[in-house]
Amino acid sequence: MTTWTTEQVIQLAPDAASAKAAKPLASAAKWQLRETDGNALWGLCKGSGSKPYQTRVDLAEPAFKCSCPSRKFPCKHSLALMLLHASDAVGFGQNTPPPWVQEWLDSRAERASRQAARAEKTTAPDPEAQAKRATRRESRVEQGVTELQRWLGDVIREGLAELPAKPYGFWSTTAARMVDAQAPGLAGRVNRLAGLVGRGEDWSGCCLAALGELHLLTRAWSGLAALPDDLQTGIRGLVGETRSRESVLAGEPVVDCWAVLATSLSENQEGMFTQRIWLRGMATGYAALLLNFAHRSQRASLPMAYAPPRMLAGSLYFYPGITPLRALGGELEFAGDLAELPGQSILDATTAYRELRRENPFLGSWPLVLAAVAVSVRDRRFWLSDGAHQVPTDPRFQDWRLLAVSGGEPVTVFGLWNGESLFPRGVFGAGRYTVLAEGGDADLG
Amino acid sequence: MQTWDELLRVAMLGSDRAGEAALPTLPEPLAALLADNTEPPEARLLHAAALLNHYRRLGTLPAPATNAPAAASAETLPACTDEVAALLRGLLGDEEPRLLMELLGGMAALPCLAPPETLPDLLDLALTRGQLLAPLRVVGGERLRWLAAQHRQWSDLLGESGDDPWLSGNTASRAAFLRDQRRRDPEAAQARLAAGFAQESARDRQALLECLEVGLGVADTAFLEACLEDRSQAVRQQAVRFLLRLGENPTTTLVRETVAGMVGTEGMLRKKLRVNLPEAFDKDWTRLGLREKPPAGERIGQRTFWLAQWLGLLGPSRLAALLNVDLDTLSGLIKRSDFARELKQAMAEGAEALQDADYARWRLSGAGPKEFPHLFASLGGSLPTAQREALLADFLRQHMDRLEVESLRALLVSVGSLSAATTQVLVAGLESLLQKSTRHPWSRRGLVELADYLSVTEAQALKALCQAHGDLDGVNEFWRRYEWRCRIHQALRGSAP
Repeated sequence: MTTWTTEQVIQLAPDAASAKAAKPLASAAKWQLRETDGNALWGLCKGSGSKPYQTRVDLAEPAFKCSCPSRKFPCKHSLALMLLHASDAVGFGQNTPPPWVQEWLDSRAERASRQAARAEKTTAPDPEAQAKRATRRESRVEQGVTELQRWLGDVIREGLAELPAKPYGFWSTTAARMVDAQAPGLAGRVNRLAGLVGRGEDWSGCCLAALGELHLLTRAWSGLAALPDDLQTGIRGLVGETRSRESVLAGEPVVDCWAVLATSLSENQEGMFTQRIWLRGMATGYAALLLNFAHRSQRASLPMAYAPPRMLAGSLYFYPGITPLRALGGELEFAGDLAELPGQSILDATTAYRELRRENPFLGSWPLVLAAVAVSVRDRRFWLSDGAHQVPTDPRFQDWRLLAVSGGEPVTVFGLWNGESLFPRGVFGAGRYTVLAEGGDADLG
Repeated sequence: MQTWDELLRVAMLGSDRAGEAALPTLPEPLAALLADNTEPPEARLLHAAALLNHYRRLGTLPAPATNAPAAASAETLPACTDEVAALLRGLLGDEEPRLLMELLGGMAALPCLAPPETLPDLLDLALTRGQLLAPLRVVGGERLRWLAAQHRQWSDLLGESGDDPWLSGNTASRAAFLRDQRRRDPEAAQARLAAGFAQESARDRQALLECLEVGLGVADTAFLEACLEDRSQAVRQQAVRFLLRLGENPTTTLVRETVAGMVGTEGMLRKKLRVNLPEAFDKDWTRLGLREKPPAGERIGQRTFWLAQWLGLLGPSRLAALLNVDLDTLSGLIKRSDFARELKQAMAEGAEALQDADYARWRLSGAGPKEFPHLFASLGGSLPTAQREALLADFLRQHMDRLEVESLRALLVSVGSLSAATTQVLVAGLESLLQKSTRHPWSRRGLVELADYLSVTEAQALKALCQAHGDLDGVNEFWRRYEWRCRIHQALRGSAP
């Protein structure tokens, strides 16, 4: 049976208002019925209408259904039922699902089997048509890359000092043209570049580094054929070539017990949500990033079971590339909570990063687990020291819980390393993993 | 890094303006990678930026460790249980300061430690909610002190920054500091106040003097007597109130003797109050905070006003003792006198200011349902907790059905938290109150807050009641709050050694 803590349930709320609205309903007095069979919860909640709302929750995924008219998902009733279960599981009666719950569970099982059958039935694509499409796409990307090279040249000829005065259209038009050229990866880099201008004391240095990297990427695309296969694949991915889910799942799975160490959910101006889930293999030591996207209207399609500090046993399928990080989840099963977190010394971890960076010059922030580091604060920044070496945290990181958990004693810290500083996302100390503030992954698309 | 800075300078200016010659030469081995001079300057600059940035990132080694500051000292208290920790985390996210205060208070009483990761949020909360500070000092343990020492605002809050908060804080924080000091060492706190008292502004003197209420004792007499010479009338008034609460001292003697010259009794069978209004206002009276002129618009003669102020200083119980009558008789004497309205008001004000417990007991035990709530709010504080609650329980037994939510809440605020017995009385009469709360939607908030004052022993009865009336506005929220409190106490009981 999958158990959910109050904190994990709160993380499922679509917004703070829903979480707040759910709390008053997480009271036994509000529920005429609340039962479970170990895999699902169901209950009847008094609402403003004459009939109580029928609320059901499938604990495994989790999935929700409620007869209330709310457009939010999950609604406050579903959240409240889970909150109530988290705080008072004993108060739930043990029973077999009534028809209105069983029908829903059956329809979910049927849909899942239909999807699986459809995936099996998918016919092999026509290789000739596929090749044609690829050629057409490459030619469009080529045009986009040439245009971007011209644009980069213009920026440098005019000087970075002119950038803060540029209108929004200067960036958005270029980004839109890259999207039209089927190079969304380049569009994303142009948008991130716009975000760097005027931000922080060293904005010009950051901009120049980002412009240089973008230039290198466009040059790499132009000379793609001469590069090793792995690097070619990586560059295609960075430019924005998508890879079908099926082709990734056809690769070799990596089986391990995966610890969920951090998650984040961000929304862009177009209402597109990006969910990032950071995992670490306990046996292999592999880092993995599950990236999921959904429009605001389909936010419910994002997987919700991945909440730190859960452990998931099973397989991941990595996207191919020179430094594989992004992955797809295969068959994963809940395997308890994180009890220990192995890590590396600062020297070993940063050396490993440099090795990766040497192979992949486009490597962005990379997840590290630093073991036995004591945390201190100096010059308004936190510092992590393992006795032999020390590294600073990102200047934007200001979560004092890191220092509080450490108390000056060695702890294990998970964070995103950008080559110069670490953005801590979680700390393991005194047998407990504490999730820290989000951030540090803006350069990861 | 000099090359990067030079490159950045050219990039800022723009390659058109800076000219081709301005491009810096890259160090070996990067220079060899940029040998192609046929490229335009902007492309060469971008290429150089890409190479240098990559080179810089590859070459950055972690700095050698420096001497780390000392770790937090070992804790002497046990950590709280997982159940208590989960409640604490939940309440921190819930913006429920009162429940949080209850939990922290309970943890401090055990005592046990809060999980370290909750300390930053608790310290931030304590910056705006000073009452959290006392339990936080206990449940934070050594880790709290270690953590606060590294954060300026937090170390100021705990008074451990090296800066004396008494010297550097604003009036509110200094008053909070002084109250805290009075709780620990009343005499030292009074000595600290006395040392620079004359140099404070009148407003600060008044605010700080009020803090002596905490731990008020005979040792404060000399300082309070000195305050009677203060330039501010408000300070003198506060000082005289404290002196009169302290029992026998020169000021109480002076007040009793002066009033003895103004009022007495006459007649044998049916006594009457004999009143000798003062002839003139003695300037020395201002020392005790008395005013010569009545407030504008008040319908009272000047000489009567002087008398009323003197009687207010003496208070009803001392006046009764002076006249050798009981409070019932005194009430009758005042009613029949020519100054009934003025003297009755002076007695009520004096009783409240002097915390006259005998008068409070007498007045409350005879109060009707309409006047009881406001009298209880003003006079209840003079009584010991047990007596105050017994009076309240009697009142609730008789008049619960006549109360509105707001009046009941006002009564409970003056008591603080109810005992199990009084809660039982209240719960027995709660049904009618729940019905009323829906008739007046504005009572909803008050109804929810009632949950904060009840003993947590009545969960079963309240659950049944709330389930039966779950459709009424505010009832579920009331139950949820009460249930939270029950969980807090249950978790704390489970943590007790």
